[in-house]
Amino acid sequence: MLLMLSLLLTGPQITTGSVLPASFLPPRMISITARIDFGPAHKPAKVQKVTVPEGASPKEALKKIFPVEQGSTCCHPEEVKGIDGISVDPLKNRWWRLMINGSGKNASPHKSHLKAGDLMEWVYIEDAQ
Amino acid sequence: MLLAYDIEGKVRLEPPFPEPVKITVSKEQQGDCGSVKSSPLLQISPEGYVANAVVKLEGDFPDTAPPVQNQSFVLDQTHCEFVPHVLLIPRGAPLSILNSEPFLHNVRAFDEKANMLFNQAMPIQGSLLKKTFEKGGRITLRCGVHHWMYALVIVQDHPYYALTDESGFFKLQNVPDGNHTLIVWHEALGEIRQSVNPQNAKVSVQYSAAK
Repeated sequence: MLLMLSLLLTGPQITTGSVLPASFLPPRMISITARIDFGPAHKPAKVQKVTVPEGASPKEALKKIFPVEQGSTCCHPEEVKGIDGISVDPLKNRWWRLMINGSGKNASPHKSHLKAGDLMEWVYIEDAQ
Repeated sequence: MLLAYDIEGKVRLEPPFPEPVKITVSKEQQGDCGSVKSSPLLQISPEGYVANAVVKLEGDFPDTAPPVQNQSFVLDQTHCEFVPHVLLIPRGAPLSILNSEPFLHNVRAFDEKANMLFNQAMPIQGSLLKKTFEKGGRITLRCGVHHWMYALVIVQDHPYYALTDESGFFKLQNVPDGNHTLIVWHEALGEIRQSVNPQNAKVSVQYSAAK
C-alpha cells in the first residue's frame, strides 16, 4: 500500500529523450605521445602515439606499448617495476621514473589521468651511489 | 675425528684503479649531509687490496648456528651513510637498524629479485628497527630520502662466509677437509670462482682491471 502511494506521489522514473548518463557512454578516446627511454639498459628508446580512453592512467597507456611488470618499489604494490623486461635494480640504484609533460611532480603511474596531447615519458635512471 | 682447516687469503684488483666516485648532494640536503659524499661502491687500498668482497664456499654445509647471545648485528645510519656498508649476518639472527641522526631516514629493503621486503620511515634520532631474514642471500637496503645511501646485508646460510677487510684479507675458519669451490663476489667487480683445498690454506684472488 505504501509502495503504491509512493509511486502515485513521485510518478514513474522514466527519462525522456536520448541523453544517457555519462557513465553509460563509451569513453572518449584520446591520443597521447609516449616516450620510453631505457637509459643505462642500452635498449633503443621508443616514441609513439598511443590511443587510450580519456583519463587512462600512465600505466594503462604504457601497457599498450610494452609488457609491464608490476610490484612495489616504494609505496604501492601496483607500481611499475619493469618495462619490456628491464626491471628496477636496487643494487645499481636503477629505477623507472615517470614524467608527464616534462615534470615528475605529482606524476603517478596509477593515479594520474592522461589528457589529449599529453607527453608521457618513462625514463630508466641510474642515480649516483 | 673430522679434520678442519682455516682458509685465508687476500683479494686484490689489478691496476689501473678507477678514480674514487664522489656524489654531489642536492642543495636541499646539504644542511644535513654536507655537499659531497664518497661512494662506498669500491674501496681499495693504494696497493689495490679490495675491501667488502664477500667470500664464501659453495656447497651443502650444515646450516649456520644461531648467534650466541652477546653477538649483535647493527647497521647504523650516520653522516648520511649506512655503517657498515656490507654486513654478514647468519640466517635468522636479529638485525638492528639504527638511526643516529636527528632527521628522517627511510629504510627500504630489497631481495636479489628486487622484491621489496619492507619500507620503514625512521624519523626519530635513536630509533631502532629490528628485522630477521630467514633465507640466505643478498639484501640491498636503501634510504628513500637520500638516494646515495645503501648497504648490503649478506645473509649466511652456512658458516663458511667472510668479508674482506681494508687490506683485502679474509679468513674462513674450521673448513671441513676436501675440495671446495671458493666464490668471491664484489658488487662492482663481479664474481670469481676458484677451487681450493683447505690443506693449501693460502689463497690469492685477483680481479682484472676494472672496466
